[in-house]
Amino acid sequence: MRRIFIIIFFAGIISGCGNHRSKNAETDITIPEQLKNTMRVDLSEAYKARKDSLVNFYAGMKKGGYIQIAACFFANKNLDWAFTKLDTLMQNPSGDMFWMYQFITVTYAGRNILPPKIKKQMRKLWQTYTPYRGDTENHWAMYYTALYLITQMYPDASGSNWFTGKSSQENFKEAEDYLLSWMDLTTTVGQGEFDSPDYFGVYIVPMAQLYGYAKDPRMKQRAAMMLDYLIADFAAENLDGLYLGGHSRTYPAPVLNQWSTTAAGISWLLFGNTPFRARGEVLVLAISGYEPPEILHHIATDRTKPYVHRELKRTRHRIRFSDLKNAPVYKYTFMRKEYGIGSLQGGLLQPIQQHTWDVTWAIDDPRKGFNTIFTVHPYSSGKELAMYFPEEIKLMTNAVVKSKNTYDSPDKWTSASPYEQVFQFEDAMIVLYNIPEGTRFPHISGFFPKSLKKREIDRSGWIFCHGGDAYIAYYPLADYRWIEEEHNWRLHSESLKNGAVVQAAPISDFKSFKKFKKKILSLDLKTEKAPEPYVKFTTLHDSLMEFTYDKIPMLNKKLVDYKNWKLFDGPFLYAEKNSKKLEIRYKSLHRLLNFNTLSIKEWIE
Amino acid sequence: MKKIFLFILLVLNSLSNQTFSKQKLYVSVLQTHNYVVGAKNAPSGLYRFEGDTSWTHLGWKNVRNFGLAADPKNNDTIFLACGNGALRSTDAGLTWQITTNWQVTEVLDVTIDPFNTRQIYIATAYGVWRTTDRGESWHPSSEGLPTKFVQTIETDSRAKYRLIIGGEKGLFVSENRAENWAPIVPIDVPIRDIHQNSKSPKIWLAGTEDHGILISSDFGHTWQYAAGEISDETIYAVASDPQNSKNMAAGGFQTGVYVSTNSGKKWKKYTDGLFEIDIHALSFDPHKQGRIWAGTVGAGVFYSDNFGKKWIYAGLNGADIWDMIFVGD
Repeated sequence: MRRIFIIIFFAGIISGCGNHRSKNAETDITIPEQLKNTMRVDLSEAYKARKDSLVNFYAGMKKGGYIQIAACFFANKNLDWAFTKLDTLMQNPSGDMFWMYQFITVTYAGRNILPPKIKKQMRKLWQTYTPYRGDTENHWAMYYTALYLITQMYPDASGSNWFTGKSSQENFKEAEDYLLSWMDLTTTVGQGEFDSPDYFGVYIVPMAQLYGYAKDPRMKQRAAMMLDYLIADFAAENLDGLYLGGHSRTYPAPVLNQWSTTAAGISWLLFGNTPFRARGEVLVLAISGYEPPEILHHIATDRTKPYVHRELKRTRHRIRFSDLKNAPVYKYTFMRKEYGIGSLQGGLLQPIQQHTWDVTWAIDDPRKGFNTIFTVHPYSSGKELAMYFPEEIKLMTNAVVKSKNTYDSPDKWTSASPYEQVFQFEDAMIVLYNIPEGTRFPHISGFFPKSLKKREIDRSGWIFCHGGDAYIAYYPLADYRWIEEEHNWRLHSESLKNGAVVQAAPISDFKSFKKFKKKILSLDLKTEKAPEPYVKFTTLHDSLMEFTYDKIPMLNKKLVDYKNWKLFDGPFLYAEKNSKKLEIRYKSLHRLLNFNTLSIKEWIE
Repeated sequence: MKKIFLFILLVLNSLSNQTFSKQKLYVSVLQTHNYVVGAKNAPSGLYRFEGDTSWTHLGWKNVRNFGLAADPKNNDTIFLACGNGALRSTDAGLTWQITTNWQVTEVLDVTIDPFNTRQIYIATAYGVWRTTDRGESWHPSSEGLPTKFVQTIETDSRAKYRLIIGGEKGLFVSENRAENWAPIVPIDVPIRDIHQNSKSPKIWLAGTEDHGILISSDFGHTWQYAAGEISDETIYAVASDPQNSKNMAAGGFQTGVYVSTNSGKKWKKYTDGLFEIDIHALSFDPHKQGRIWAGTVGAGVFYSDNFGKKWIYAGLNGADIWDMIFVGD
């Protein structure tokens, strides 16, 4: 076996784009010829072409805000418009950490062309405007990254010159400490605001900014590695640019049309595997100088072999009603070219916007959306919110509804529920509900899009569906009725003890839909609703799944081993919990991100 | 004889008012209207009452401001308990510094030691923190607490080094400057606010979730539930009259304002004139006997000059008033 073994210290700088190939004191190792050959020129050029087209798209708009201004500065185009617009925007800053990330992008994109007078105006805002830090990890990542970068630019100012009242050194140190702490937490026990198609971008933004603009080579290296880390996480779970499976946070519209998210925009830029979607966060990444290593491109786009991918995540910080500050989240995704099916274990893992499971199939044009099936128990309670937010329990639901108006709706499509539990193996899944009497919204909803080619209800109880090149069989545990809505049929079931069995399969495995149905009907299935919901199911691939509500599920008569669940575990990604390492694999290509030594190791087997 | 008695009363009242004559009302606004982090929000933060329905905003306009406290020996020093830390102003609100770092967040209440104003304590969603140098450095001080969520904190104005806090697991006391904490019976009752009477420091009040209010008349050693209609209410704010400790007020979720004029033996509920009946802040006016100020959730500030029977709007409509204090100039 031929093994090329290299260690690249600060390799993010090296393996990134040409803008950052300059050596520094600790960057003496260059990439050997063999490895250079693994970075395919055609992929790199295609990436740069997409990047340029995105920059030109924004730089040519001559309308918009900070993102468009940053693009103009980066591309050196429409500068008159950009200066005028910048002056207007600076009269009335707003947006807290969202302002910070955009403003710092403009600051650095324009650092070599901004006139001193405007630079002075911009500097003054960091004293007079008081951006709030926010209450989520993405808020903090943006806030502290911007604070890090602006105090890096003005390293000797006293506290009276900053909105925080702290000196440059104090602000810089605090920002650095937090960012390192977040990176450590994420690479040891998992990301808190994990795998969100919408919020993915606001983690990419701060890491891209640190990569692009941090002077400290160690921070630059960390940022490069975190970009690889976050993008690898997405790459393994995307299908044509759609972020599949369970999500910590998503919104009512994107959960039905997953292309309408920032993740799709990032996927287009990095991998070109989905149609162009303009998002400001993507522009920030594009002008940072980061270029994904080739291995990530392959992981994101090669769906020739089906695979199982597991991840360990954590809840965001719990402040009440939990023994654990960060409870573990067990994520499971099965992916193949025709479809993906993924899940979290259920329960209150994230407030308000959790998406626990779905099966989503590939369609010719992912922009059309409505290519997914899932169920939800629409749960809302002050207690759920109080687990994560400090305000008064009885006041919080109304407060949340003011900005997230579906939170307290019986018809909502995103929700965590303490009464939902999921067990998945490959492309089969058991979902159980055990809803106590008196629970607000005592029903479950199932989303079945009208775009399905077929949706047939069998006398056995199975619902057989055909979407894209996937067949999906869905067995409801309890009585239900269909409600027709604009884009979908809603399965509405008011049985408190409830659930479903889901089995997906590629159409290529069967000669016809009829054969698929016949095969499903031949599978062993036993279900009970009382005393606790229970399912025993033999899958299409002859695996025995057995799951009783509130008990550890069994696969082939063995308890599922949650205790040894890895941080990443699949053919493409592997990481042990607490390791601060991620091994990225694709065929003979290997890339090891080691946060302990702050190094990237690449080799070919 | 009667006239002489009335004259003495007036003189005493005048002297009493002189003591408080320069105090001004400050309120903390958690949010105004439909607040969303990162959006263009209406101002929040610290406001000072200027009369009628007029208020002056001080400092940060977009901060989620929970509790507040002023240095009793230097009224230019104000501390705010905010979502992004403990903020301090030493020039009566003109300029501010975030005194805490990233490890301190969701600060819900703040109290300044009256015996040593360099010592300040904050209650946060992640435990108690203490400073001994006016906020230059902060140290975690949650030893003995079964859970970290602490919503309310008060220093004992009578006893050095003594504090009482309230959180999800009830009341806890520290006798040694928050170095460690011990539970107070009843346990496991979520506490939303605590208050000590300034004139009669043996009187303490606590607002609870779903259990009305708790009253102590022995310096917070033992507590009794108030009986009657209030007994199953959720109470976010408790207050007592600095001039007559028998006068008490309480308000919370959908309660309007409960008032007692007999040391908490009987409570009467009042809502007349309030735009909203969710109450989160209460204070007796040190200037005007019988006046009670109430901060609502969503409708700003109100006052009553007849122990709650009728409420008069005093501005900041749309604001969630989280806390209020009187501060001397």
